[in-house]
Amino acid sequence: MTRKAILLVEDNPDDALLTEHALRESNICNEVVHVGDGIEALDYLFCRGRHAGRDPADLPAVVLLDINMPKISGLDVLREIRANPRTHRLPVVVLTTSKEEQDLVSSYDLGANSYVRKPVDFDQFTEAAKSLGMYWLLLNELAPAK
Amino acid sequence: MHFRLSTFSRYFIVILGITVIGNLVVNRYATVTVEARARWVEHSHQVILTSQALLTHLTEAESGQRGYLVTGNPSFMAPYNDGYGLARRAWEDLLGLMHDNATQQSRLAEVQRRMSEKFSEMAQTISLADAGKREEALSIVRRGSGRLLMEEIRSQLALILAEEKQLLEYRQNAYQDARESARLWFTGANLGMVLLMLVFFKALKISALQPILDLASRIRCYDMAGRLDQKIPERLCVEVRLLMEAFVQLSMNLESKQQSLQRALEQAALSNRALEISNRELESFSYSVSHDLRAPLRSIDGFGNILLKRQADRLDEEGQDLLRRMRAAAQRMGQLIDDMLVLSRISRSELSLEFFSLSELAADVVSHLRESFPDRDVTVVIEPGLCVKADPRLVRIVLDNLLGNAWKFTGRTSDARVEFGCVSRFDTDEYFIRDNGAGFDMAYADKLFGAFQRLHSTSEFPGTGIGLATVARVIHKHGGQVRAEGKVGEGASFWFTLHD
Repeated sequence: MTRKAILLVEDNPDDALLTEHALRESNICNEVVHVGDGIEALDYLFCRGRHAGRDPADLPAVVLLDINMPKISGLDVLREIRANPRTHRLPVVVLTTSKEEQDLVSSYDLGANSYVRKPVDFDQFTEAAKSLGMYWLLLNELAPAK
Repeated sequence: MHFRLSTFSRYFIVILGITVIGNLVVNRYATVTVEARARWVEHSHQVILTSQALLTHLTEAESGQRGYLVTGNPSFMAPYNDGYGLARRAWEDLLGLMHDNATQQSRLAEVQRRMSEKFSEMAQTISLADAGKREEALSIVRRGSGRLLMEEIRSQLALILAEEKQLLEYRQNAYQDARESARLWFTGANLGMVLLMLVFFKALKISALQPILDLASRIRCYDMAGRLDQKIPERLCVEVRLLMEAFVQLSMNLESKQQSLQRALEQAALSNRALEISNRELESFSYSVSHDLRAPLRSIDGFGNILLKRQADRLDEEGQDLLRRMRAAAQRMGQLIDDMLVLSRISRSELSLEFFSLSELAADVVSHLRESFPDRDVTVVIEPGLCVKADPRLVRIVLDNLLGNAWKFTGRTSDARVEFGCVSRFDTDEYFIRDNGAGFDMAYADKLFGAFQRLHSTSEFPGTGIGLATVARVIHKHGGQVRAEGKVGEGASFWFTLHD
């Protein structure tokens, strides 16, 4: 069984790097694919644009999605993911700094599987990444591929 | 119309007075006339009665004389003497009564002449009878001169009577006329006064009563919103017109006052809305500022950490120490941002007051402190049963700060002791948090509650210097006061009230 990738959708390159490091700290060896905005995330998932040559069946194990992004927001990406039957059941974890209750509500309404707030302290961040990894990659069972 | 009710009333009273006086005068005159005429009627009656009495008395005397002459009985002398006396008196009365009438007087004179002749004749016969010469006396009587005299007296008296009766009828008519006139005058005068009063009341009604009622109904319909209907009716007296104008003026004043009040209200609503908008903008600004400031902090802290862990072997002690200081600075900045956010949010939020137990809240804060710093052994004394009406969320921030400070500044004290209680002074409750920690110099007491003010260095005791400023803001928002007492090396106590 090929190891599935983790799709990290994050516009802040520093935060992306920190997340990757945190995942490494947790001994998670899956490939981390980082895209810088929502449009590229959708291009990757639906194999178009820059990622036109990809195998459509090759979906990530989990998508770590930031909400506050330029161009299209994370919520719009989430909506697109849920709208498409191929990616409908793809696990999406909203990983964001936003404390707005409205974002929380909208995320769940649009079908996010989980909502995690990024802590400021790096140690805590690492712990959070480890828990995330452990759960979504090892414990959680994915829906069978279509 | 310049009809002045007061002037009209004055004139009316004068007219009424004149009318009443005139009425009295004429009344008096009529009464006097009627009485005078009644007296004249009475006068004629008297004349008639007296004339008739005179005749009667004469006849009495004559029959007395005849009887005495025929029978010689002296009892017949009584009627003769009486008759003689009474006839004389009657004649004197008549004389007095007829002083006004020349014709009657001359007739009376005729009567008098014949009467004296008659009486001298009768006296003559009686004296003859007295002397025993009755036959002689009778013959004189038979001569008939006495009878003739009586006839003449009778006819004169008849004339007197006839004239007096005519006079009586005339006088009675005059009397009735006078009474009739008096009655007419009396009725007329009364009607006249009634008419005058009617005129007065009509004028009063038109000029005052009607307009006043009209004004009353207009005022009743007035709803304080517009102005009183300005149309003032034509017919009203000056006084009521002044009243109406005063009311119209009042209504105009009320209207303009209301308009200015309305404007002030609108103004207040406008500035309220502006304030709300500015508040909301400030809120979202603070939020996004703190949010955006935290992202780079996360990077600094995170990469610093990675450096420390991954590159430890490449860095010497100094390098590692520098990195550690960098991380600490980033974390402190994060704390500062949080504290500032709390501070700004407090000023903008509304107080939501409720009753709750301060003692329980303090105990909860202490238990959190014990959890966060498990290796500290601090004796905590909390006065039980302290209840207060305040915003529990904000008061929690106060206790977090003050108890947290007490915890922090007893960090180097053995036998650390923190007390939380209440002292009732006058009718306010003053709460205190006392510790036996590092204390502070009272000389700098007034700086304590300023933002970013610290009386200790960060190496001695960590802190951002915002905590007490936050405490002060919450307390002041509740309308209370806060103060601090301290002694270096012995401890500090912070006092606060939650109401004024």
